[in-house]
Amino acid sequence: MDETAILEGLKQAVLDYDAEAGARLVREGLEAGISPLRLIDDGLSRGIAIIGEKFQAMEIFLPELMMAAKVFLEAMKLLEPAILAMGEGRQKRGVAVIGTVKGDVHSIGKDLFGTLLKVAGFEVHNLGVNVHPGKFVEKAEETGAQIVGLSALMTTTMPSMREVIEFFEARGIREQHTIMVGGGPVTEGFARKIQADGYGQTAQDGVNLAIQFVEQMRAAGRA
Amino acid sequence: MVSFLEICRRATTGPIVAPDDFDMQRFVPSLQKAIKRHGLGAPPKDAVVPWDDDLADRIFLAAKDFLVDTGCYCPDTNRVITFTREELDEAIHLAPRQCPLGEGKEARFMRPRRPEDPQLPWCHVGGGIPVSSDEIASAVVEGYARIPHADSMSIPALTRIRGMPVQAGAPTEIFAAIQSVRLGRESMRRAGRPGLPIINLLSTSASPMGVLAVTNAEYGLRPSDGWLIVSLSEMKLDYNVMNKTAAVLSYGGNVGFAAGAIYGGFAGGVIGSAVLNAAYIMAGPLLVGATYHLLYSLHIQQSNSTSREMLTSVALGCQAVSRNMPFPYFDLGYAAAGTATPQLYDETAARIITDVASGANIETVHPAKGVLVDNYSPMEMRFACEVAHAAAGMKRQDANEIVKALLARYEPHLSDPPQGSRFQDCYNLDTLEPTPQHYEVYARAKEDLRRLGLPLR
Repeated sequence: MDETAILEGLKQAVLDYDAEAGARLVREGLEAGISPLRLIDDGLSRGIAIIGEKFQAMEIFLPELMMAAKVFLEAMKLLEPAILAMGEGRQKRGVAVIGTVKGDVHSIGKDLFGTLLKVAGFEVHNLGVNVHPGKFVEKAEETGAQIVGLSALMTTTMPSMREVIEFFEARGIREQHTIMVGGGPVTEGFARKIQADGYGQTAQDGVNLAIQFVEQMRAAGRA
Repeated sequence: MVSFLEICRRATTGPIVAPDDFDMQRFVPSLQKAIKRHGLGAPPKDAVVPWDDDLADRIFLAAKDFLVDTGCYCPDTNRVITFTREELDEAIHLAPRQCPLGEGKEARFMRPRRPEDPQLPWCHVGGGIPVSSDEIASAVVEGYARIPHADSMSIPALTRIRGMPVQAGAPTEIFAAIQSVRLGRESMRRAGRPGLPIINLLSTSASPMGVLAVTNAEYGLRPSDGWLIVSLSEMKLDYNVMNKTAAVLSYGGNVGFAAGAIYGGFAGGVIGSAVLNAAYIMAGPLLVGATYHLLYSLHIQQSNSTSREMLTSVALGCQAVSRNMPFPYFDLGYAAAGTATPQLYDETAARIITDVASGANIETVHPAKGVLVDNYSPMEMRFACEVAHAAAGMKRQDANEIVKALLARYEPHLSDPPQGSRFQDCYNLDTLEPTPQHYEVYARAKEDLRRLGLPLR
């Protein structure tokens, strides 16, 4: 199989939700000497971009999105050692710590955000649900996360988002992290009011914003 | 009949499944298998309010198969609460056929309806929409209670108590829970309707402690009120929810199971969401001893539930249950547009007509996706009730034509809806009357619906 066919096959494996084909084509590509970065950027990522568009348009739904993400992430497990072995650096997009704030146990939107961040190249630390503010601070410091993503689905847990920001302020590290908020009842106005850095109405909006933030932080020498 | 205690036992003895595996290895394949087994396909796009009885009946059967195959997940124990087909059939057969709510002259039964049923729907008014102050909460509930069609009330979610933000799990939540009930009752008393049931336990508080705090006939909720037990999406009951259930059942309160499919989520599109909506309604009596159900289906991206595909999936789920299980339930929709805008009235009418023609009772549609503080008023709630009464007995095909005409107007604006006004900006708080401009929007919306063929008084 030539390079074009392998790259096209990888894109198609994502569109077909075929993790087995994805892994096989990655192996074939590596054996054929194709750069791991090329397999990602010109193969897998093209498929993921189409999947993202289809999900936004509701032509496909969450199960299909999760299956496509699985193809990508399984393929990445094979590609990451190859990238390291070749000394070829695929720069991580960034590091993100995400979780549902204290008192709230809803997870679907937050988990979707986490999956899309991973696919976009972020290292993601998902702290789960009902997360104490101190845990966000602890994990963000430990991992050097540029992005901290907070989720809430109830009006009574939204104040916990402000509390997390206060914990970062009290620790004196507020400026080192970009704090984003999202979830059903959360609005842009609320995000401004609690002095969050950003708000994503949908998971994909959040990912786009996270990418922008990290690029801005890099440009400013903060990441 | 499986008791709630038995459900609790199964939550500790059922098969152990990892959380992600429940979603993708159990829930999704079971749903897809049920859809395939019953040959379900989405109706044509112009049948926004479908009228295919055979499809509705097959959705009901698919929902039963799906429930038996899937069970319900308990995230605290990582176990699946399973039940047999016989147990589900028995729970459906023995489910309450009416739910007694309210006191004194407001005491009445919420009853099931059938598609195209001339029986007037139960009108549940209000919403757990966030409110900026006790004064606003008090005024808006009084306004709700003045709506003569109102059968029950939701009281708003207080966001502050003595200047402190109300926070889940904190003492402020407990004080605010008590305060919200007290304010609600006083407001209903001023409107001359102290016996109206509050059936949204409790937007101000989601914790078991909040429930216990208002389990008090002196200053809290009564057994004749409705106690919402809100499930987790999708098909999950955690200990938080189960603890609340245990408290409410012990108090003798009416348990209302609150759940609906997330459109575009694990359930997928129109048909998957319809099957899941039907499954949620039929599961309540079995899982939590429900005496009524609140259906609230949401969209994974839009947060409103008045789009074409949402209307269809809810209509199908409602028709499936209403034709096959005489169990009282009502449906709640979220509009994209805010208060006092013509679009809100269009979205409200579309959702309410869809519900009523499909056999549901109704809750008044929440403006601005229910998230903007103080963004609601009794005017659009009254309108929703009037539309609900006028739509009783309407043929689904006729409802479909009206809904399509409404959709044609508002569908292009769903992604960028008008935010509308705050209650205090479109109402005179001294007289509790709408501003002339707001009244004009209401009057025009009614006139327009009459032209479209809805027999509004």
